[in-house]
Amino acid sequence: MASAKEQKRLQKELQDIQAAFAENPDCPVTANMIDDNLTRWKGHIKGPEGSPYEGGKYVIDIQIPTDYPYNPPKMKFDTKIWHPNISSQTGAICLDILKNEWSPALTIRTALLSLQALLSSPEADDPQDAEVANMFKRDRKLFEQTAKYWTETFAKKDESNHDESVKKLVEMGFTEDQAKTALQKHGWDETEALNSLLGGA
Amino acid sequence: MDDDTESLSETVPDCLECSICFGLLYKPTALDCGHVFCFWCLFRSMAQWHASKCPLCKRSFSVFPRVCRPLYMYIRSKYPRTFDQRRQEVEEFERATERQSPAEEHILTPGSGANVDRLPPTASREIRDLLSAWQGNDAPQPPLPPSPSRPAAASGAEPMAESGGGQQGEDGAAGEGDEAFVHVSDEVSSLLSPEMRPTAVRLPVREFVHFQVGCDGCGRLPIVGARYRCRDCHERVGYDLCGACHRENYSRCGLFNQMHTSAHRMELVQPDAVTVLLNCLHKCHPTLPLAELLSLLELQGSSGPSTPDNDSDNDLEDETPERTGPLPPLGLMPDEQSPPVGDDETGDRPAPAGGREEGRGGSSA
Repeated sequence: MASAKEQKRLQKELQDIQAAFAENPDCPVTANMIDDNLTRWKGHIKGPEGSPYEGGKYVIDIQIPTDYPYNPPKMKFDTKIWHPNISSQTGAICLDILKNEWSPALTIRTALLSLQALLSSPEADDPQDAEVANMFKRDRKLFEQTAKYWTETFAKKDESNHDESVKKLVEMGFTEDQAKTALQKHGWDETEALNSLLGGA
Repeated sequence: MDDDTESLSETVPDCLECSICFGLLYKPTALDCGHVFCFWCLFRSMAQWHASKCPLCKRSFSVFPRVCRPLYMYIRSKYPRTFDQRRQEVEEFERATERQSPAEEHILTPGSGANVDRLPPTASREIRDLLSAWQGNDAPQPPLPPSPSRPAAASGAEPMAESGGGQQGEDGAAGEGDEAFVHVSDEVSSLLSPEMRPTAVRLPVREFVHFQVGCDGCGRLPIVGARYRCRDCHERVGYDLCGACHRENYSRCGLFNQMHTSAHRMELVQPDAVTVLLNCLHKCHPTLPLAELLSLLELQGSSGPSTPDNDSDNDLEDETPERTGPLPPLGLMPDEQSPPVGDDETGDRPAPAGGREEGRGGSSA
């Protein structure tokens, strides 16, 4: 329901992200929209090197409010992650620029970059998940182990998992191409991919 | 597609792109920090309850600046096609939201009250270079009639910053006197808890914040202190002045193209119940951000009074329909308009659109 002006900005943001990706397929963050009216996106963040999240790929659910960019996009982690500023249960994120420090000059891409930076430097004094934050403060080693374990378990869905998902959808009667496209678009979330396939278009 | 081919033929330099809408600057407004944005982009970024922050450098400001005339003229003459495209977009937005930015004729007329005649010296080198090269060469006819001949123009353009600064202090002295207090009705005070009441009801006029209402003279948003409004401006946004501008008999056109004249009658505004209550709550909880004040307001107001209607047509950005309704809808703000954001800078932006009449002020004159 955003006006033409805001739509135009979102289009441009999408183009910029895609251009950055085309230029450097290794870029740390990407995003794509998963509906046609630009209000729902999925972001993808690579776990930063040197952090317990290294090697992980994180999917971020992004909702664009109607008054974007005057209010921040709503972001949360779809991929489970063990981090003091991210809820291990819901994926909710505690990050100032997604709240009161948002500025309309920021973008989806810069917000994702800030999220990536947050993975490298947790702020245990401003926690989202008290349990994780306590562990972070009291037993750093255990924290790192747990975070790594979560990375291995939830953020490193390898190709074989993808193949599984594709296979499932193909068994339901979709072509391999359809299945792959839908899965990619939805960060390899089977349910969402299936919904979009069933939703037609 | 037509649009695209057209704009392709004009390559707009990055420094002339608004960092909020990513388009060519349209009716550019420059902050003291030197950052330039489109008229609406900047206005819509501003806070409505306290000072705003520059979207780029976060420097605090509380005065909505006028359109920068030379930059407007430069852009219009250098990028006519992109400019035209932008004009259409903005006109569409203005039709949809029943609001107007300053009319071109006012932007081009020194002293109209709708423009400033130069960029702040803090503006980026690129922009200043573009402008000064152009003003040296191919600038069309009457660019800047450099100041002295037009004292009116100067005072229309500049004092925004100055009067902005001094304003707050003088205000009390202005209409109501330093010792004046806002009248808190029984209806409002009955909504306050007994322990809050003694503090809450002593609201000095000079500290009173007119939520979402800006001054059409100096551009200060929100108005703090006495507030005057025009009884004769029929535009939907109304026409408001702060105490200082009213004292100076400011009578040029408004920030939003209102056709105000010196023949119009101004009157002191008695704040509505919602705004009084908001100020009371703020007085008792000075550190709470707006969104939380508003949710308190919702709690307090659930049993509460209706907003008197007298005020409804005169807010600078009265597109938030809540202001005219009974109390409970006001509480919708944090949920619906500024979702979990809930904080200072972001929690109090005006929502686009609204539901009232009028707002065609300029096109006719």
